[in-house]
Amino acid sequence: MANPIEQSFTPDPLLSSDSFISTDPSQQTQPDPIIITDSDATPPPGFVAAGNSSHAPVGGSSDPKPVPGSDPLLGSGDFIAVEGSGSKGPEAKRAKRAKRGSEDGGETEGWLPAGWTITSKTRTNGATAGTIDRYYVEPVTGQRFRSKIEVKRYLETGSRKSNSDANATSSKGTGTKKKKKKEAPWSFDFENTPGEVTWSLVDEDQDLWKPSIGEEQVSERTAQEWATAFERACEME
Amino acid sequence: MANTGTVSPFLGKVNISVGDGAYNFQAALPGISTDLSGLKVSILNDGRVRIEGVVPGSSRANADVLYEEEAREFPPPGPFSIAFNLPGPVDPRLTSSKYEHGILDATVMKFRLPPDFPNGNH
Repeated sequence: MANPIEQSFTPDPLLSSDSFISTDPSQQTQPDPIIITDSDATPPPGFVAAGNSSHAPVGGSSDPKPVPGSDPLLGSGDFIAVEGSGSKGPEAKRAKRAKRGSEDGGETEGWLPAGWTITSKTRTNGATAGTIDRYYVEPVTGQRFRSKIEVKRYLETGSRKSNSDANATSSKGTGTKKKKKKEAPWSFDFENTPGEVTWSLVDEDQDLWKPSIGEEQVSERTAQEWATAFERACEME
Repeated sequence: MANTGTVSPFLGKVNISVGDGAYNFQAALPGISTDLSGLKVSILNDGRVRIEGVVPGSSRANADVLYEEEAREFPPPGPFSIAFNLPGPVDPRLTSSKYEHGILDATVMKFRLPPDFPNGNH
């Protein structure tokens, strides 16, 4: 990512009260300051001209200057942008985001499914006051995810992940917490069959059978995996 | 092993069918009680099957009157075991069984590796 701004950006922009970006008015529709957009290889016009080029432009939340088109977050504390429209804007949290390494703002909003919204909330108390948290909200269930990776994992596996990778330093695309159960039945080991399985009728009325290997009863989860594999195998006929 | 086959003409009779990917069998188990001791079907991956259960005593046994056995065509009360072989190797995990009306009906998938799965034809 050849964004020159990012290289010179060390201090936390939020801490320097006088740094802000003179946002180009055309940027008004992209109010979210947190999104680091690698795609913004070219900083928005007027960016460098802000004069504080050593700091990533920030709508410094501690100093809500009424810059035209500046981040509305500063005033109200939160807002909602639909479908990733807020991915451009001043790189407010560059440093913090880089540490987390969990946000890839480089891609376009095409990764976020239709209907999802992006919510931002500014923290109002504590040591991290002023921090802006961004959530991706799923329209149907209202589940909130804190990063693109979480959203992707959710989309792929249907499982909900919150905060599992928020602080991982190498979380980009390396989520490995899929439950085996959610994987395709082809993870079933067709090759290695147990020598013997004993099926015990537990309830005649409900036709409930429980498998055991040797003296040990097979776990419910495993028995369920077998049942699923059995059905899939039948479908293959 | 209470049942030797010659004692009961019914217990232990088995139908075995072969399908594309699985074997199906029906075992006649009349008069079996599954309430107290249940029914167990052990399947080995080489295709052997063993069914174990209990033949109940007469529920109408009358303690007051003593009866002498005149003819026995049913297996006597107590545990029983029947065994037979499926035509080929199987995956014992992939079994679906139903015990109803005295008949145990079960389907066991043949042993085969995923690449062998048919894609519409066998």
